[in-house]
Amino acid sequence: MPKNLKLKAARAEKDMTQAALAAAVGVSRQTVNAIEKGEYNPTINLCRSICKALDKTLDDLFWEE
Amino acid sequence: MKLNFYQKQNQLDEMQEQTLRKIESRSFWLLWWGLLALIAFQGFIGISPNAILGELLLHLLVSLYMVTECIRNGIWDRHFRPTLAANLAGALIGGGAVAVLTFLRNSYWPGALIAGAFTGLLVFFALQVTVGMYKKRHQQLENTEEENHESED
Repeated sequence: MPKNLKLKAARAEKDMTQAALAAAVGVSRQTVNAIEKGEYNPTINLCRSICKALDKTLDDLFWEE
Repeated sequence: MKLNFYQKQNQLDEMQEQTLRKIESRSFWLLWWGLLALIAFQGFIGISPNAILGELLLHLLVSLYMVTECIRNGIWDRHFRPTLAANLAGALIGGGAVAVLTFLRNSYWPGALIAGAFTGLLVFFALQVTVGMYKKRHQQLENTEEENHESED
């Protein structure tokens, strides 16, 4: 699975640390880190929570061309 | 005194939950094969079945639970397909293992062959029956009607 650089960029745009995003969506920092590194494929519910926390759409963060 | 070391709510997030399930799965199979090896070894060194009745019953109950739940949920196996060839191969492996163990214990090959053949037949019969049950249940689950949302539209 490739790295999710879009997620990392969106988080940086919001000036959020991995820990802050993790707290906002109710998961551990290691989970956010694994998603960004492409080591974990999140459920649709977690994807939606992340999108809401970062004011992005699913396409913005999780769609690959 | 308030018990604050236990929370009814799950403390893990989804990735941790998946990881824990993988660990539990590996532990289960380690225990299952370990117990089977222990039972076989105890039989091999001549311990009577009565002395290992607890292990035998536990292994049987766990296996029965596993098979029942898998069939109920329409699941067969990750890698093996429910075919006659796979069942024959399973029966051959089971029968062969029993024949070898019996021969090593008694050094009497006709007895080992009979024990192996009987076990092979038993395993084949059990596999055929469970495959039949699995296929029936799988068909049932695959053919359930879709929910009708027309009333909500």
